[in-house]
Amino acid sequence: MAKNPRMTLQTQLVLRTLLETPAKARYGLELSDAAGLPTGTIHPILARLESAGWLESFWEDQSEIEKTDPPRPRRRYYRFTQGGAECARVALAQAYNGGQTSARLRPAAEGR
Amino acid sequence: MGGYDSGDYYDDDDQAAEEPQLAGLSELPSPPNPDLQFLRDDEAEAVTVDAKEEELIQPRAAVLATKLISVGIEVTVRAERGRPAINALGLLLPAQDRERWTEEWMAEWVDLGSRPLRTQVAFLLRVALRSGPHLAWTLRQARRQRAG
Repeated sequence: MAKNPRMTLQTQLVLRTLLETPAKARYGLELSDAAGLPTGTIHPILARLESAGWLESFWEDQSEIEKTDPPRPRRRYYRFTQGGAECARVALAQAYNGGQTSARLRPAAEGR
Repeated sequence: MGGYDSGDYYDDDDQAAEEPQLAGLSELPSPPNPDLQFLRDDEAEAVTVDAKEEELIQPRAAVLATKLISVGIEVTVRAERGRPAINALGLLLPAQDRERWTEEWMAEWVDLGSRPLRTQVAFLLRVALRSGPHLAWTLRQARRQRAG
């Protein structure tokens, strides 16, 4: 696997949303709505997570598109890879603990 | 030329004359529900709909159908309008990844077709100013890491 992605607040929100149902594949707009992120901001995060090997993506089945009226472009779906969910859990826990530690240290550092 | 007296226009007597009519409105029988009559069209007496009622119902159905169709067309037209802009934004990305990401943006843009115009404009602006350049940098960096 490549280097771990940066755990920005937006990345954490996306990972948390995906971890709610780790086996379920979701598309970009669905994810950004669920994570509470503005539309059009999620793609760099997904690309980063995909290049880190945490997520895999695939195109929607043609049969699914044919059912829709009017027809629309196919969607790209994202889901965790084999070890991706575990990596995400660990990274989120580290980010949370890191946040806790820095919050505890901050008043002491300011007091010096 | 003499102006009219506003005092006469809002005369208390006129208001008093209207009051009994307004009070009587609640006592009027409610109009028959035309939809219910159509549901019972297998019955002989329900098939004979007054010509007057038919005149009232048909334009209402036509207006509703026209509205639904026009909304569908508007959404499709709006979605197609975004295609050149999205294709242009795709030029920011590395050539190898361009097709995939423009298709993904297009799918999201079409999904946004039923949302307010300001949401769609905000989407395009975010992609142009933030997501597009950021994605281009991420994709180029990933490619460099793979190569090196």
